[in-house]
Amino acid sequence: MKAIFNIIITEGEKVERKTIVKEMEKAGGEGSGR
Amino acid sequence: MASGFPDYYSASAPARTGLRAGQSRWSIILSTIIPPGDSGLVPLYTVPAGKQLIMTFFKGSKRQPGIALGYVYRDTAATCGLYIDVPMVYNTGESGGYVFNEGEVLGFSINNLLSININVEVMLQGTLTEV
Repeated sequence: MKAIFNIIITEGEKVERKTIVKEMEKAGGEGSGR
Repeated sequence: MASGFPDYYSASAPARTGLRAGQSRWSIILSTIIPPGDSGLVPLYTVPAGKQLIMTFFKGSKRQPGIALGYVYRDTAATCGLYIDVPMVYNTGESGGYVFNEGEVLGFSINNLLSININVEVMLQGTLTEV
């Protein structure tokens, strides 16, 4: 399934907003990382 | 408070409260909904040429009780991680000094171990320095 990531990045006075749509994978359990 | 933040922000104030010439504050706020049992790595930030990022603090929270796992990545390798739970349960943040050099990509992955959708918020803070 897809997940939508809403992101706000601040560098000093500069603010950037972006959205990333990511196709997710099945989690393998604790310790499996991604 | 010396950092200029009100007291109720003290838990999330940057570890480095003073900046010298060539330095600037850096932060990322991420919010998402992760389907049950899913995980994924998203690239968030590429350190610009001539800069170095020192990530000094990160924390995560979500609205549903139960553990999810978060990992901060340098390119394709996990460099640190945290448990993500509802706010006020326990401290889900960590402070440190994670250095990212120019061209390196900071990414974040979330591993939803629950059988329900989770609404996740993650905050990363640090300092960008000219090198």
